Amino acid sequence: MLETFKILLPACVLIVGALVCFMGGTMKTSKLVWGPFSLLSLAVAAIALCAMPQILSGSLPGSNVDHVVILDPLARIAQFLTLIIGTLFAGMAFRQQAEDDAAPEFYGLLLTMISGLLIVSAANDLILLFMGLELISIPAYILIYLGKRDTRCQEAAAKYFLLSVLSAAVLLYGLSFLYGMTGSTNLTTIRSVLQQTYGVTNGVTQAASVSKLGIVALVLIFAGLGFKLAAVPFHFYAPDVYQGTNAWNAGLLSIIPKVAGLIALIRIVSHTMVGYEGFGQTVALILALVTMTAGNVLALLQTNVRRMLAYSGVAHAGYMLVGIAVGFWDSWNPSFRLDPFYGLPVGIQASVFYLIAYSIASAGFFAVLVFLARPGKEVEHIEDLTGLWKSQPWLAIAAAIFLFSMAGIPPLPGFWGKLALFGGALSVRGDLSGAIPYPNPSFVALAIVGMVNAAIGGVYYLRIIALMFLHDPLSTPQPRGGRPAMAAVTLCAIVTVVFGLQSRPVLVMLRDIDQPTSVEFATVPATSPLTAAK
Amino acid sequence: MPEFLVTLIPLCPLLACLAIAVLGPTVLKEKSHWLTILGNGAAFVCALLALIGLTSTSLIPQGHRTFELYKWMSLPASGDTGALDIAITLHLDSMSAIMLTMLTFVATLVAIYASSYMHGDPGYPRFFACVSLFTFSMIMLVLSGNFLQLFMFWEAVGLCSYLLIGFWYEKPSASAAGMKAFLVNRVGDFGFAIGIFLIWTTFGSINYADTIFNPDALAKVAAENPGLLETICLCLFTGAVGKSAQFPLHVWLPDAMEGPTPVSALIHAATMVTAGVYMVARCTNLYMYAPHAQLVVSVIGGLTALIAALIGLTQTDLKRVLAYSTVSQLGYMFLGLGTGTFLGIGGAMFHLVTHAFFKALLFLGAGSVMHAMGGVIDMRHFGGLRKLMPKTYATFLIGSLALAGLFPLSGFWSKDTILASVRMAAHPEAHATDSHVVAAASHDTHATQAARVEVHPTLSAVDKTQVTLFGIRATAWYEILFWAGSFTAFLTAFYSFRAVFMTFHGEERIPPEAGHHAHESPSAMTTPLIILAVGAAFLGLALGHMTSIFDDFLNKTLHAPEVHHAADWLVIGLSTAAAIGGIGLAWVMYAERSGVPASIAQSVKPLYRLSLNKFYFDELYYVFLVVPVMCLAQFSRFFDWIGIDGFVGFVSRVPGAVAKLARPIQNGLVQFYALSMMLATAMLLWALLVRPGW
Repeated sequence: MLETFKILLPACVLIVGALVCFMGGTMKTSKLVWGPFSLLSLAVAAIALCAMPQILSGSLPGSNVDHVVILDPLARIAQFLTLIIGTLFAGMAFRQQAEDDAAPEFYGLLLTMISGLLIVSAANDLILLFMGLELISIPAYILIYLGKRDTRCQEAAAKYFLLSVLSAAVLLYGLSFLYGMTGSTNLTTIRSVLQQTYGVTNGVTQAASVSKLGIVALVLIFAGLGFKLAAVPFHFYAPDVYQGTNAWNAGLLSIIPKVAGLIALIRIVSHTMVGYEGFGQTVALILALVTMTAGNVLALLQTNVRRMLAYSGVAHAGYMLVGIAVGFWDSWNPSFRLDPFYGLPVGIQASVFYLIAYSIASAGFFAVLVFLARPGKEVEHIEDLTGLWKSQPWLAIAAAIFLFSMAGIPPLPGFWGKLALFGGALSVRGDLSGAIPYPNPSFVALAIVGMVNAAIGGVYYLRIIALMFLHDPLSTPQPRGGRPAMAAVTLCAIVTVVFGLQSRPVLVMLRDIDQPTSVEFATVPATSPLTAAK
Repeated sequence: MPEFLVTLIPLCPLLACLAIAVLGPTVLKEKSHWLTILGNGAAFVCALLALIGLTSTSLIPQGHRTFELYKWMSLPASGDTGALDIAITLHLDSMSAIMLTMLTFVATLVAIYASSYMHGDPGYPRFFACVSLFTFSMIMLVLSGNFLQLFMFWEAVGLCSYLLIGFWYEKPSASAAGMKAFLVNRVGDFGFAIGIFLIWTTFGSINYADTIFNPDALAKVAAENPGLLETICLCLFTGAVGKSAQFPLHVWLPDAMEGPTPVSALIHAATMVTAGVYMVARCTNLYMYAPHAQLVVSVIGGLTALIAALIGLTQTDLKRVLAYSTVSQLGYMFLGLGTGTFLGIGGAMFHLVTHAFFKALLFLGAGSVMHAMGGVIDMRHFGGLRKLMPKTYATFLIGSLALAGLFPLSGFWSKDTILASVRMAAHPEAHATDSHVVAAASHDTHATQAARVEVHPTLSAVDKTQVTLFGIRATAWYEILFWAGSFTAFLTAFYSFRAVFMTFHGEERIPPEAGHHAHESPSAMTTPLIILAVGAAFLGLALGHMTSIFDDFLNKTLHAPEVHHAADWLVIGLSTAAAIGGIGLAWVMYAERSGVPASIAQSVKPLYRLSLNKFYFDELYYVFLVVPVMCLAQFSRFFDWIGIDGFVGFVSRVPGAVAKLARPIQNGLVQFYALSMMLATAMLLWALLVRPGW
């Protein structure tokens, strides 16, 4: 119990911070207090996260099977990323919230969301994980509405609420199947049960022996988390909601649910559902193909910046699913390990790498939009960015860096991410039986579709860059984002460039994430329906 | 800490460049030159310290030092492709140290000169930012430890050259000249890039350490496939031909004189154009195994030297005379490099250094004249300036004497060495028993020992006496080249003193553009002239064969067992006679304005016109290259329009059309969205449950 609390300490810090915000909001305080206060909470959480190895000294995480939380490399990377994103978004909102009466509630909700993401990152239990996801969703409904408070914003909030609730229900339904099959909500236990039930010897599972219940669970979980990732066809909310709300909210929605969705997908499906790799691979492959293509193609037509970014976010989710699909193949048959593509991380590692690259570039670009926004006047049309180079040279350069990274231009991280993802798909050899030595045709097709999509993606990113640099401004922007938003832009730009030039530290951190840390020590509860049936 | 010191050399100009680029237009303005001067000066100090460090055996005992500054990408070998390491590596040895010291020294002086010369120009900060960027790029080129970095900065100096030739871009001739330089260089760079690709596929690495500094790998490839090394060498040489303006790609350099004169002095005379020479010298170990390529290098060099000198005879634009002289002198350097002996390579490197001094001096002198004459540079419009501009005159005279190769000025020593090496290559048997038996160059003393067994009078690992080109034996080629080189020496003396006499002697004439204020240039311009003149005068005496300092130091890189050679009195006599003869003839014809040149021109009119019109190279290229390329371009444009664009346009419309079809699905109805999500889930379930085995 104490261990759990220790591991969740950063999340707890943020929850306390959020509570202080909610309580303090009822008293008469300056609106200016809450921004710095939330940054302080995030800083304390970061310190707690950094001090975690010392706090936990002696008791290794994962040694206790029944632990509801786990602190493996994946969790640590995700938590660091979460705090960075949280800090960026808290900073970006400074100016905007300085004039808003709802500032304490606003920051309280943001801190709650961040703590939810921290919980998702470390959760090793279905219930806790789901609770973390809801901690992200519920504040989001209110935040979307707080954004603009007009009818369009209300519509967006309502849409997001309804569809999110639906997807949560689907996810929960899927999780219930998983519980029903194994009799446990603990992921480590579920994994061991599945492993023992289906006699996974030498990593080879007989597809015929898997339970159909598991397939239902797999599909439902994919559907539920697909909504978080904004994977087609669970993406419908994204364009409408992004367009309806303001740039800050759109940015938040484009990153935090995506991080949560991907981490949860890796945890629940990739790392846990032993024996279902073949099915998972099929689902991920189909979703990746459809998502990449639909996202990019539809982004081509958009003239509203946030709507375009919504579709671009959909496309990026598709790229991440490529890595998930490759990851399934990788764990399908350990005796046929992937040839690492020129030593780059492949599979799930590549997905997480791409997630980091995308998050920072996306946060940066939304920070540009936040900086340029005025109260009641967001950057709507992409032509509002015309000639930005003349009026705000540094902002235009930073925006170009983010767009180039998203388009996958070397040496920026987006390029490395795409190279690793598609290279991983190309290095898949053999078919489901793992015996054929030539590249797997469906993965080759996936890589080719991915590359074509990257080219299509280049069109709409470069169109914005061309507008910013090659045309004369239509009007003089009066940016109201202030220094904090500018600092967020600058920070993201620097991180993007440095990350692209020196990606080694991140790669080293990513090396261990594609295998669950806990192995072969779980006790199977006697109550498990599956074991009982045998 | 030598690493830190070496890193500072490129860092100083880079910081200067960035600072000027950011602060120049707003803060620094007319003070921008200080940063460039400081950056270049600091780089010079560091380079000098590195040079001194190399001379001491205790500081850098192995005589060279390679270290990696930053690794961008490291892809391990996969399948049948080699590993690819992309890193910024600095390699310091005596050869690069010589280049660095010379480069940063000249760059500092030119920056001081330019601070006065460019005064009042609206692009003042831009000029100095570009100069700093150039210095940085050139330093990185020289310090490169792998071929990719070499290529990258090879292109970077090309870019700086382009930016600075077209510095006054509002002048159509300037922007055209910039474009010409860039395009002509593309031709050479194409070959250069192929050479680097070949190196990578052959050796599986682009690092110097695994290729040109690895005698075992070289010997292995040479034993397996000697033709491949010849091809690589020829490809690399193509790059050098472009960058160092050798025949047939020499046409860009004279046009490059459209740039500001300090740029002509720094980039198009002293430093960038010698990059080709440096690269070929750097790859000596590679060329050792490619006797045909070496012969080609010599032949192209000798031919260029002669042709450029012939064109230089009749040009009336002072800067163009100097430009053709640069092309000609670079030809000498390649002539020496191609002999493949230590005498030739050392001579070429020494000529590179002395040439940098006297040619930078001459260009800066020409700039000083141009400054005083209100921008006029045509020698027919002015004359007799020696009383008006005594300092410029004196220094220009010293530069011309050095260029003519008169004893004891620096040009004499270096040119003489090159000619002696060519003569030695023409008569290998006469020198076979001589003391200068030179073994394979390498960093590895073990390999040097092994190569020493093969006794040849050249650096070459292959016997060169049997090599033929166009059916003519190598020795015969070198014999021809020796006499061509000696004749070129005569021509050099003639045209350089023609320029001196036309500009500074005779009656004083000042063009109307100069106005009333024709005067000697300010001391910021004359001081660099004087410093360079001292170098041009005494460098040969101090470092040349009298003391052998230069040869001994360079040999720390080349590792020839014996660097000294007996004086070749025939060469000395011949070149001195050529120099005095040339100067004398120029005196007779041009000391006083007379009808003599015109009447001679009249009597050999076809030849005169041939020279005046630069052998019609530009016209030939226009008819045989530009016109066909334009035709092809027109055809391609048409084809592109109808064929490619039609097809690509069709393809590119597909995503848009698909999107238009798909867009109605995004109808904003939340019920519909929910339904789609559920339907999709149901379809996935159906696919996996009802149709298992997918």
